[in-house]
Amino acid sequence: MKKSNWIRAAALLMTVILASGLLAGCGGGTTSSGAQAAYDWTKTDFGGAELNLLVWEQYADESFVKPFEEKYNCKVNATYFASSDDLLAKLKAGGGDTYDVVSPSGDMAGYLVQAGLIDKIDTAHISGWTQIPDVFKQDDVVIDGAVYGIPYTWGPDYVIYDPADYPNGISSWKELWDDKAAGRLSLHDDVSNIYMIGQMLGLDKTDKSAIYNMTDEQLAYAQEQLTLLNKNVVKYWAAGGELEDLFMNDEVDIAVGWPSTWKALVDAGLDLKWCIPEEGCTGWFDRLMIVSGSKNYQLATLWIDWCTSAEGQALTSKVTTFSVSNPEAAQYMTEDEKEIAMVDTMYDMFDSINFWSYVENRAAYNDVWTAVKTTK
Amino acid sequence: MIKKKSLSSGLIITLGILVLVFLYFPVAVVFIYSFNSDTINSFPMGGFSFKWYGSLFQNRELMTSLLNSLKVALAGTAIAVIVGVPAAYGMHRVHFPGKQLLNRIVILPMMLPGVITGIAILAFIQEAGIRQGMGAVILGHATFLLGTVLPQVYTRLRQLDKSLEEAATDLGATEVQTFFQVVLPNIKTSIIGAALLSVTLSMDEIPVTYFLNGTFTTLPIKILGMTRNNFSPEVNAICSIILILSVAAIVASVAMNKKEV
Amino acid sequence: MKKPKAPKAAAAKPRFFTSSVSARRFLFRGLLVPMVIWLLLFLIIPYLQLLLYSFWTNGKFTIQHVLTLENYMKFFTSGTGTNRPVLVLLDTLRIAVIVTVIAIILSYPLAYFINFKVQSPRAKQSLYMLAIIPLWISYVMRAYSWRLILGSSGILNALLLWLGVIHEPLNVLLYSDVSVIIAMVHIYTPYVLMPMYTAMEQIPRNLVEASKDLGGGKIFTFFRVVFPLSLPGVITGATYAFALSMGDFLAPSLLGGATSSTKIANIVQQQFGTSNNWPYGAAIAVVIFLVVISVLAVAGKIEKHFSKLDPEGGKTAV
Repeated sequence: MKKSNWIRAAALLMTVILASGLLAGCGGGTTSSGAQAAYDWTKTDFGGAELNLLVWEQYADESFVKPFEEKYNCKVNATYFASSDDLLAKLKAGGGDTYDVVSPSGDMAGYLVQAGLIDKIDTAHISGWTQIPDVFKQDDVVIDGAVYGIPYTWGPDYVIYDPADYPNGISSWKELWDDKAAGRLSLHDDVSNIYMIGQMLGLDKTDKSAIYNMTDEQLAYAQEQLTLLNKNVVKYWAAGGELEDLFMNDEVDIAVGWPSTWKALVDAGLDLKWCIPEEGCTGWFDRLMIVSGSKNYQLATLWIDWCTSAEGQALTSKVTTFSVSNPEAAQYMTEDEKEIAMVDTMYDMFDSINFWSYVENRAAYNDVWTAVKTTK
Repeated sequence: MIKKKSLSSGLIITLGILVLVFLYFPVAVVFIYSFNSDTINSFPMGGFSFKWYGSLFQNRELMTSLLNSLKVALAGTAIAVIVGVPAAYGMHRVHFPGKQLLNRIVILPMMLPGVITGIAILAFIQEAGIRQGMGAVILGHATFLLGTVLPQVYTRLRQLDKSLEEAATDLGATEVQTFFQVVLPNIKTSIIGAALLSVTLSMDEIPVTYFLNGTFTTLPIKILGMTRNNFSPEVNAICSIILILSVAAIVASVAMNKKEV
Repeated sequence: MKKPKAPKAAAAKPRFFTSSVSARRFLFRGLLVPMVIWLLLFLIIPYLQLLLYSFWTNGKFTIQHVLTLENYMKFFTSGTGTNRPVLVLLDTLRIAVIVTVIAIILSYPLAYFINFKVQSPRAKQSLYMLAIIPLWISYVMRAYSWRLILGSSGILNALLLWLGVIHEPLNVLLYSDVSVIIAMVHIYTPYVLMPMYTAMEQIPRNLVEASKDLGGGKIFTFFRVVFPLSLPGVITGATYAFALSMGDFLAPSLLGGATSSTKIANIVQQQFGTSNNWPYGAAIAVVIFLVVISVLAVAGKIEKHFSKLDPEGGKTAV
């Protein structure tokens, strides 16, 4: 009798262990580089393989996903992240088992490569590589001559405003602290607000990277100023959709946001304009990268090839309004699209933006930002 | 149906109804806005349209996430019931030290912020070499659903008239027979109730799922993503459909139970 | 398990199922073993691991297995003024208590109403289900709807303006602690209602009748009979509301404003996301764990005290 129940219990235990064994897929550990394998680059049928993207919103729009899926007989899945650190956490938790392609901004790109999370890319198979101007190819993703990231899109974090309240926009970031904006302002829920204070201090006039390496004193000042700004902020938006919601429901008159948000609101019928204050603005330059340990190295390379090709870039820009890194995209874009993406003035625009760079002391910046949000 | 007695009765009734109104006001808003012709919800509503009820079925990601949630809910509940009901019976019949402790441990995931359980299990599966994905999510859900099933079934068992079980044994029934023919029928409603609650909780679980899912999207996570990124009243529409189906199911079960009540 | 339906008479019971005391013990322990193993593997060990993480150091790229108290130090000593993590914890506690109290105040009349003022069992069941049904709509969707209701151009303001109750829209309703509390109350009221209703349901009606027959008025009956017997349910409901509110990071992030969107659960979540500091997040999690456990212990003691009035959950004769 006793035996039978112990047997029963043991059987159940065995099942549990077996089950967890089954669940344990290929856990972390395969650090073999996909780049080292040999591939047949004439292959176009991937038998329904699933490509997993970990990207900013809108980088997996149907308009450019579908043609790719059809061409290569595969399925593209996208997971979105809301901020650069979010990307890091998800990537570290999931790794190459879970994701194949990531689209970090400049502040994370170099870090990810150094952390060994990214695989080399063979630029011979990226058709757009030779078309992308050198000035866009930043070397934070080049190590010992090997390229780890392909420039994708870029854009400013600029001011979106309602001309009914701000006929000429704002000329200085300082105006955000005015009582006029009380309860009618929204900023990105992100440490990038600290960069804004750095620009206001003029830190980046001589050295663009100064705002990413602020001293403790400067950070303390930034915290103080941003805390003062809290009274004007209705809500910090965590994702583009939230800012759209705020404008649509007439909760804000002025905000710091992305061009894609501005465009979506204009398309929805709102009369909104954008501007860049005199101190300048920060921006982001996103790169496409392949995750180390990815199971779909070849497909990932093809995806990056597609997204940075002239046609792929045009489609991306159409959906996101972001600026392209491959100027050849112009031939596939309408005049309106080119204007919104500032294609003809792209080099001037590029020079006027202070692109997010790696912040060595990111922990301190994060602490400052959390403190700002919890100071009543 | 309602005993109308006096002022205090009237007060209670009014209060009760007001609370129901408070509970249902947002539900009504969700339903009404599923007919919003605008893509973004704002007040007043842009216009009237049925389109979202059509387009939501074309929304591949949304449909997949719904299916995923159902799979997880059913699997998680099944595990919780298979593991938890026998355990409840065991706890009921045997006295051992640590019974109280076991009761407390099993409800820990319900009592602690979901983030804590989520990250704890994430850290564990990383060490154990289990990938994020459907398996991990089911694992996480089953774990906290035990806290729904066990206490409910155990409480019900304790309420059972012990003399029933004793009588069965006296009449010569074996333990197994006693369980399946005497105990089980009496706790059936409690198991079903716990299972229904489990499915409900699992279908709307976010914190634990958020850390274990990787690219495996469940409905609440998809909805959260949509409210942040590409919102459309398809979310309202799918929630309304789920609501109507749930109400229908409950109406049906109440009607069927007419005789028993 | 194919046994004949009728119990066998007298002798020759299969060896498999004897009813000796020790045999029974093993049988029932066997039933418990799977659950114990499951809990051990997927609950206890993970929690213990989290505890271990809280003592490790956060490195540049990975967590260093170096024991330290710095995470707890950071929690208890960092920050100035109101942004000290400890104060965020206390602030979250404050909100949790407010939500709990309001949820109880709302649920009690409803539970009482359904239990004592509605006669037909079918109506009772239906109304009870009605109160639970909002749980079937996604939390996010419900919270999101509150934006439409409470916004400065939203439904409630439009209503109040139209009624002439106010002349300017109330801006404080949305993106503030107010909206966070309202949303949490709305979401957790059904959780409070359930145990409350169950407890009231089990109050023997003959007790209530007897009290009235013996001359106790309605008020007396309520305060001396119904209320005390319903208290265990109230306390259970309160612990649910409290625990769930303490751990809620969604309502604050969806409906909170500039300074009301970051509660302690948000800070924990950030450490595993945006701030990428797992050890620190684990340390905060441990602190929250201890706080909630303490509150549960106190609640448990109070409940025990009141349960003494009714040790068998409704079956004791007076």
